[in-house]
Amino acid sequence: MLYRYAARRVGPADAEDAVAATFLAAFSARRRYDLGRADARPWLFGILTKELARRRRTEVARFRALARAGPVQPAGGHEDQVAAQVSAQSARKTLAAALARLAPDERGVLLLIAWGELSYAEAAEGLGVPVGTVRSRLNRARRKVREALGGSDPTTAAEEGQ
Amino acid sequence: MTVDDFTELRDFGRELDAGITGPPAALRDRVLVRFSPQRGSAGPPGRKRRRRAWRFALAGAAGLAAAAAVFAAQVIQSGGAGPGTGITVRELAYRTSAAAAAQPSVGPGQWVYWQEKQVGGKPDSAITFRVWTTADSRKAAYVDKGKVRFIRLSCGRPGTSPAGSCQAIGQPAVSVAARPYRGVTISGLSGHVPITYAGLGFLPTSPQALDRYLGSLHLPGWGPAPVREFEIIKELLITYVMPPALTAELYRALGDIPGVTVDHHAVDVAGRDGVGFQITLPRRAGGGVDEIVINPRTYQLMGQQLIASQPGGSGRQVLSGTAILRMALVSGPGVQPKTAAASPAV
Repeated sequence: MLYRYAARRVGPADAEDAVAATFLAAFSARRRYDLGRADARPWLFGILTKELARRRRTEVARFRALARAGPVQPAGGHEDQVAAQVSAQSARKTLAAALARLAPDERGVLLLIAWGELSYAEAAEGLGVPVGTVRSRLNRARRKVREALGGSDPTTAAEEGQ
Repeated sequence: MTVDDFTELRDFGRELDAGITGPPAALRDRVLVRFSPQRGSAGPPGRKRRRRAWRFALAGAAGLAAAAAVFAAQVIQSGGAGPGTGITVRELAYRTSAAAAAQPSVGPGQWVYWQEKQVGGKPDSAITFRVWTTADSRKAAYVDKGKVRFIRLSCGRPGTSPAGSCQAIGQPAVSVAARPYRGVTISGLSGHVPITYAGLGFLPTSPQALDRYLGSLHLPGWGPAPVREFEIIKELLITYVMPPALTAELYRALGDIPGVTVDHHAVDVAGRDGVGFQITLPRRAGGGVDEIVINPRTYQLMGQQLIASQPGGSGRQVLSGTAILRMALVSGPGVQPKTAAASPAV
């Protein structure tokens, strides 16, 4: 879970370092762990986020590289399916570029919720910020991403906790 | 066109996963080694370290332990590294801890089905039986001629039971003289647990108080402190189905007990290969080697046994022991588990 999340952001090699450092930091800080928490995930993601912040250049470079990556040849098939694949690949490149341009705090919140599958409250807990801050960072990040994607309807698909 | 940015993001994430094969084995080693206090700079393992482990366990801080161990277990499963000949007791402790933490939480009243082979006295005295207990071992039952029969238990006051007053079972001793089930008894041979299930929650959370508590337990014949700790942990492990985090910490504590070693060629009383935590019992405690047998693939409990020392010889004789052939959560006493895959022990 943590490794996959980190690998998506910084690639497998740096993810290994980041996750190992996360567990070391978590183990060292275990006495500060709040026993009232029902789930350790937000706490661990919070520590991982700090570790990934140290690898910000790697992350941005990774997303820029993904944005520049050449088109993948779509598999053969029905014309509409091929067109859909090409469209999706184009969107991914745009998305990677948009992620690279986001402010670190905005990217962190957006990806914690989209890829880490944390709720707003969990993201706030992990990052040690108010839920309102999570919302504002997320809104800014999503607005930028939507604009990059050709933007449109501010979807409510992932809205929760409201 | 309506663009759902979250859907795009999640699809993008899944595409990135295509190049990720899972946590590498190297990460497992790094995590486990870094968690190992023995690798630190604070000197050799000792009393203080065990206190720390106990405090961590008993304070229940185990959200972290559980999460970390679940992760480690995932790594172990994907990595698939076996114990090998070089595994250390501490590494075995961490692997078993990780496997334990990855187990689901079970309520104290959850019924558990056990199929076990038990040996006592002579090898030809082996008996295989089935028994149902609740996770807290407050209820136990067996099936005799198609009827569910409950075993009467007698436990002392939670948390304060001195040895002998609580004869809970999970691995009940079976009188080999009697035919199956009629001879089920609650015996000191196993299941002689000085701490009740409910008492687990009453244990002191500070290391000093915990030490005082364990030290105050009157356990005649249990041997010196390291042996006593090993025995208490063993009895807890084989008697109760405890919260995963606590089970995990008990395994970790095994790795810190002076004198505990690894038996790389353990064989349980059912003849299955395993890897064992073992400790030599002092002569005044009866002598021999007590062993907790672990599945070398899943790192889950396979059983326990007492092995006679063979002066000058390489052979070994099992004096008594239990092998868990199958264990599964079921809906009630007498209910058979549905699939063989439910057993964590084999």
